[in-house]
Amino acid sequence: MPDQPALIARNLERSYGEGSSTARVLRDVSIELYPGRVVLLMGPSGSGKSTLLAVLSGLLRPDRGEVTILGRSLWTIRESARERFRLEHFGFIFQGFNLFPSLTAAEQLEMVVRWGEGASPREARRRVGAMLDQLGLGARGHIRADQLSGGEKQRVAVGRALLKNPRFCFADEPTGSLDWGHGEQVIRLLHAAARDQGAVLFVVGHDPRLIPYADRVVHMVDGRLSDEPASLEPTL
Amino acid sequence: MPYSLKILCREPRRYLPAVLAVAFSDLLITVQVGLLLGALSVLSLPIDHAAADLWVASPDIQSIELGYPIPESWRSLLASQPEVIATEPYLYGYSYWRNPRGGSEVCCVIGSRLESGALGVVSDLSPTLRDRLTEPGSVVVDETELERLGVDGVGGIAEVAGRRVRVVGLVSGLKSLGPPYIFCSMRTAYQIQPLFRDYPGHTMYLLGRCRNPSDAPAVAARLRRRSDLSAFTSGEFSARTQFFWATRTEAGIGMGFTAMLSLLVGMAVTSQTLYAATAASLREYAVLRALGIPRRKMAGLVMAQALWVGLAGITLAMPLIQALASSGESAGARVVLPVWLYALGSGLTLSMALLSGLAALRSLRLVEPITLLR
Repeated sequence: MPDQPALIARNLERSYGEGSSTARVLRDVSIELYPGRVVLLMGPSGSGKSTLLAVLSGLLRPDRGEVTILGRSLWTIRESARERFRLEHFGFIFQGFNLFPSLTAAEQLEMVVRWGEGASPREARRRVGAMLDQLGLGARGHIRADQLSGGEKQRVAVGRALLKNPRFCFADEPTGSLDWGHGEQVIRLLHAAARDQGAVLFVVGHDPRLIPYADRVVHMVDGRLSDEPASLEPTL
Repeated sequence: MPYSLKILCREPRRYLPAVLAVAFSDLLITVQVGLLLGALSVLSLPIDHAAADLWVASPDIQSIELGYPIPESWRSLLASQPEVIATEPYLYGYSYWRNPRGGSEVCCVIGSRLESGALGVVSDLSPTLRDRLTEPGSVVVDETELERLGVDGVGGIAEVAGRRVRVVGLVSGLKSLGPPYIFCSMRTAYQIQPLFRDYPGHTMYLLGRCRNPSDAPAVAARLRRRSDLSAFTSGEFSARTQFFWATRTEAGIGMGFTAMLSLLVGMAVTSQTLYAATAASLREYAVLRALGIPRRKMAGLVMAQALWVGLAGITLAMPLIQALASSGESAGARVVLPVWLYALGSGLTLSMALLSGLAALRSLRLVEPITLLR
């Protein structure tokens, strides 16, 4: 394991609602994430998994606590700087595929590098072609999203997240909409990307079949984290 | 091809209402204004069909039919301008036409010189007709006015202001929007216009021709320094007459309101269509936001879609405008469609589409990546 964590979160607190209806979703959560490692966060619905992912990835401000990424405090920098940070270092995969239905697989990916990095059309095509080959979609790049299968759509979504070689990839139930055959394909891709690119892969999931692909499994119950070895049966 | 255009081309059904709304607005504005211009151009027919470069009239005149007699002796003033090479009087005024069956009609008597090179005579009068008009009591009318005037055609007899007149010829394309035009010689006009019986030595207008027509604006401006007269180039007087009727009558105002209404309806449909299209892709935009893509890129996409919708609507409207104008013409309506009107209609509707795009941008405020996390 590398010596230096890429992400350090300390004493995170987050509540929803006010007064007597306040729900404390994160309670004094601290965690460190290391490059090239896959961390799987498991827990029952409503336990705060997605909230923790949102706070770590710069999408939701915590009430208290600190997130330090690559030596920078994520929640003390300006919104525009945080947005820039996400652009440079973060990839996201969500449960729904969230692809523009009338754009092709290749166009979904090209849009990210052209709009995000200002890449030229030629450069975008080159990178997207390589990524689609890597995803096993080399021959499907010209197909519109609404004509792709569920597994293909999620692979395109994975490609969209990994195309810019992010240092961090956050995945919320990435296999939730897929049968295990396609789900396994997706988690293998993510696992390989974490290893090959030295990226932090933070996965929120329910499925115990994901456990063999994780370097570390973390459980969340009632807003608190408990660390258990990956080889142990998870608490669902 | 930009993403905005790709999405538009691949999801035509989604954007069709907006394209149709833009086309409808463009069509309505252009044809309405074309109809208005057609009606207004009829009002200034006597000016536009004459050969004069300059028109001198009573002070503060707003429109050709609102003149008041001026002394014919001012002709020497006009003739003394170095650029002016010819001058002549011109009579224009209302009278009463009484047909053989006993019916009466207000008519507009236009009296001018008739010889070759005369300034006031409408160019549509052939030399033969001009010859016939030299006989006192002879008049020429537009062929479409015969029924209104209660005469059967050439040779028809009527009475104007108590004087017997005879129709000696017909012209076409000189139908008036108001009382029918009665074209005649100066001599006949003096006899059948009651006003000039009380104003001997007066005329309604003095016309002038410049050696070089481009000198006319300067001469008109020089003459206008006198407070007891008005002076215009023929273009100015024609535009002044049309402007007066466009702004002072309910017809012009009504058409203006209808055009504005069509813009508003078009804008409402276009903005709602674009809003709904953007709202349908909120989750896709939210992923891009999570990935750090600036919001302005998405705003640019929506605005580009508004631009394409506008251009598609204008393109669709062009042949429809032509078709509608042709059918209007064949039904007897005069539709004037100058190039600038196409540009105006297109510009207005394109601006409307872009404004609709701006209004639709509010849906992007709803884009929040956090909503993707369940």
